Amino acid sequence: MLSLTVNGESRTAQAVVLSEILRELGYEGRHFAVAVDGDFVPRSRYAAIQLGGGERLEVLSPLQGG
Amino acid sequence: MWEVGGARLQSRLFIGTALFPSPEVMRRAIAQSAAEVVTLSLRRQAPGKQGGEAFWRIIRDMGLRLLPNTAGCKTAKEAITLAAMARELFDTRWIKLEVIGEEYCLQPDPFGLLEAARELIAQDFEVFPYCTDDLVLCMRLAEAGCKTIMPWASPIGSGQGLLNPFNLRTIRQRLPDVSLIVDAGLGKPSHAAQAMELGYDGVLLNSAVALAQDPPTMARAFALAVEAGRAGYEAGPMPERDFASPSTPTLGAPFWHEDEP
Repeated sequence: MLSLTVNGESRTAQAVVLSEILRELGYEGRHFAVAVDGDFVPRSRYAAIQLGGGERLEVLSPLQGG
Repeated sequence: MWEVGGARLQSRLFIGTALFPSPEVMRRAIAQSAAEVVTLSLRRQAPGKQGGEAFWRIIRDMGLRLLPNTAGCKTAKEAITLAAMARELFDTRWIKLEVIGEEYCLQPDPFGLLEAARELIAQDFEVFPYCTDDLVLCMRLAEAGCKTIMPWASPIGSGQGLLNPFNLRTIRQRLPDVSLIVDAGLGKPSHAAQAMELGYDGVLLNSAVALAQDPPTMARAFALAVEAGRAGYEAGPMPERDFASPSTPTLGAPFWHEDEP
């Protein structure tokens, strides 16, 4: 079980691969982008990235802005 | 038509998508503004919430050019990461680069901004930096490769208009080959016309329309003001004078004061 901080909140995940973690957390589709520990992770690499626990994930979606 | 960031546009008005009372009012206001470029952001959102997706669908369906921002970033590193996320999500090289250095006035951090601009240009972004009206900063941004620069008129959302027309005029004069867009601080259509009369290539605004009592009508008013201001600039205003000069010919004036010494 991994402990993670996702969008500022403490979460846990059974999976260790980023693509599976995102699915487990409920992020599906293509309307979001991801950063891990402050670094952008391209969508093409989700399946290749393994997390070890303790990482900070930002999962961001389009929203109104000026 | 004019060209900015590799795009040919009819409208010189860029409009933000925030603060509108409803998505429908936003859609109508954008339509009335005739803007072809809209700004938007990336934000945290719980996976179950569909609000962002619904907003995104409305904007996507309008077929406008997107200018995502890095609002809220306080360091170059944050802004660079957010720009990369925006490029993937919105499939655009354009980024409205914001690095905020002070919370009270939301004043851009010139040092972080320049650092981020250099890195993002190296990563093949088309950088639209939101900056203060400091001539030297604008010169450095241009030297870094920014083809468009967006100095503020006054602090974001303040509606105060052009607080320092001298600075904005000087930037225009010294950077004739850069596309200049006044971004932030406009409150009334006359402010937009004033910016355009200075020779600015466009204006970017959000609060002035979104917080108006009737946003679609205010959007239309800004569109007209931008058009009028640009036409006024292109027509070449007359020089200012300190004293009056009669517009009606004095030759043949009646009741001429021949008797006066």
